[in-house]
Amino acid sequence: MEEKQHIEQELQELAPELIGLSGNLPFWVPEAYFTNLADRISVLADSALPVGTLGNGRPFFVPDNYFQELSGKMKERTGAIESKSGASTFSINIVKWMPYAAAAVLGGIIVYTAFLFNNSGKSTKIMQPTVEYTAMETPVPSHTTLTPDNEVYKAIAQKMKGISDEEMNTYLEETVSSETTEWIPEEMN
Amino acid sequence: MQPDDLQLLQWFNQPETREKGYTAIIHKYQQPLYWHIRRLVISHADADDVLQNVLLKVWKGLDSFREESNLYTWLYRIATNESLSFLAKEQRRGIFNLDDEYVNPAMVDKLQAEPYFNEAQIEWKLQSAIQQLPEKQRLVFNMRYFDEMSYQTMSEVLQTSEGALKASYHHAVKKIAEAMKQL
Repeated sequence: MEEKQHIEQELQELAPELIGLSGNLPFWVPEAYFTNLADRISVLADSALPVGTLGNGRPFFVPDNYFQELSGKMKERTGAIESKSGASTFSINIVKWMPYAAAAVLGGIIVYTAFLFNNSGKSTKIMQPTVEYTAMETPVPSHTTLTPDNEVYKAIAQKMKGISDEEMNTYLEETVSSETTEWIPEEMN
Repeated sequence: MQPDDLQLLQWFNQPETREKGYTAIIHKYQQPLYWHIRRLVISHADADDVLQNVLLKVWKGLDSFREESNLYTWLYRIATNESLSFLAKEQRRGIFNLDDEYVNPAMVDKLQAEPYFNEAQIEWKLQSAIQQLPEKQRLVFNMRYFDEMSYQTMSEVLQTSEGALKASYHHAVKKIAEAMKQL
């Protein structure tokens, strides 16, 4: 109160028109701002990191006693795997064989790469006719069916007139496999 | 009847009453601190941000508060530093210096952007005149004129001699009276 009088005296000397304006601040403040402020700040303060925990480079949350309990948890889990039969044994065997399988795959890759490297010149030559052949764009029949009207059939039948059935059977037994006999017309047998 | 500062500090220093002490400090000082900040930064959103930072610093720093200095003075110092740091960051300037004669041209614009701004109203004229002062004089004028702070307390808060503060205040009052005649 005493200070207020000092201030008014000061203003009286310097600028009397300013006396009495200090109590009327025209600024707008949201309704109930001051009512809720303490609660909002308490929440923030509760969640604020204690001083001294910053700067360790690890901002991640780790549950209390996580590292102390980790070894016990892992013992429980590995014990559970050992007590199971069948699938668990299979999984353990996979783990045992894993280094050998990986080594075999790696060795295969190395041998295959070396083979490709040594034959790199040849492979270029092999590819050449294939490219030319496909560039021709000529339709090629997958197979030709022999019928009695076919000229090829007639020519073959003419040439085979002098051959007896016995000779033919002997020839077929010696040369033609059982799969290809399906293609021989009945008149020829 | 609000508890005195000594009682508040005793509550805060006991683990079981720490939360109660902190909440009581907020209730006692939230309005003076808010208005001190608001008059410097102008907008409510900025004042709210700065006030929250201030109160978090109080929570973290009150353990190391030395009771030979007044709690009120200590809180005002934090609020002043936070407000001036905020303004310096906003203007991308260096650290605020009380010898600085810098006038921030953006302050008048911020004032005119306020809800219910009315340039014909005497209170807004006064605020417009205040925003045309250098920051040092603006700060000293606000603390004396609105917060009715003694030169001695202001000297503790701003770590400046009473003589320098009186001179700043007198210059500020004269400039404001002159500016208000022209508005």
